[in-house]
Amino acid sequence: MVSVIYRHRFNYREFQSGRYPILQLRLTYPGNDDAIDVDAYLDSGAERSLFDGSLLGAFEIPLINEKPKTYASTAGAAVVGYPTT
Amino acid sequence: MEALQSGIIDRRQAQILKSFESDFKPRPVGGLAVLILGAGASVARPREHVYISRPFSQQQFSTLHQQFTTNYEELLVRELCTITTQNVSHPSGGEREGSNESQFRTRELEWRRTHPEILKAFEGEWIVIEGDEVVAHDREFTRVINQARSSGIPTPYVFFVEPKSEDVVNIGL
Repeated sequence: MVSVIYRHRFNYREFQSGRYPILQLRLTYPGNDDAIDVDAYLDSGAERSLFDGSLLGAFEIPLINEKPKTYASTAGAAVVGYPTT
Repeated sequence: MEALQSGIIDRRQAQILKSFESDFKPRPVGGLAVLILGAGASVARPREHVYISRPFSQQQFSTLHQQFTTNYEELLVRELCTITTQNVSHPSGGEREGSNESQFRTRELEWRRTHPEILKAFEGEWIVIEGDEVVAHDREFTRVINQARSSGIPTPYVFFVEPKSEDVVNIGL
């Protein structure tokens, strides 16, 4: 039997209508001193981290839209995102 | 976050070395414990992947689990407290007088949990909370951030208040 030990552990949070794997993140952007704190829903199976594009407004930078991609869930729902680093 | 990640890795490496000294001295024949370190070592800093097979007892396994995992929340709070003491004070850090908060944004989250009736008034808006106080709210994200910063909040805790409906169940993306 092989057991995997995860690097981090944290508690589920009671949140609105139930308990969820929600983390609080502090977002910053290189070259910008501004920061905001936001909630993040942890999806251990996700291949990418998705953020609401509105959040870029906190850093006064434009949404990068040269190469939009479609991000789909296993249930079929999909959103368009703009990869950035 | 880079400093935080380095802290996590450094701490884990120290834990691993300590574990080697205390737990991985020569064991009786038959020990099938396999410890693989450095998998994915092509990256700048080594990553550790640990695979453990029998015959560890449950107690041994629990001990190892404690040693090889990092409590993200505790580490985050510690790092943030270090940052706030080095720079300007963070309004939600662990240094608020009279506060016993031990986790990141615990006070704000508790307020959110216990005041759904107030939040209902802000459905469809972005909102900034600091402690127990609604600092700013607006349908435009940029406006609400600017309001909060104008109120002296350098790092606003911001979220969108989803309109609630009994016919809607959130299942993720």
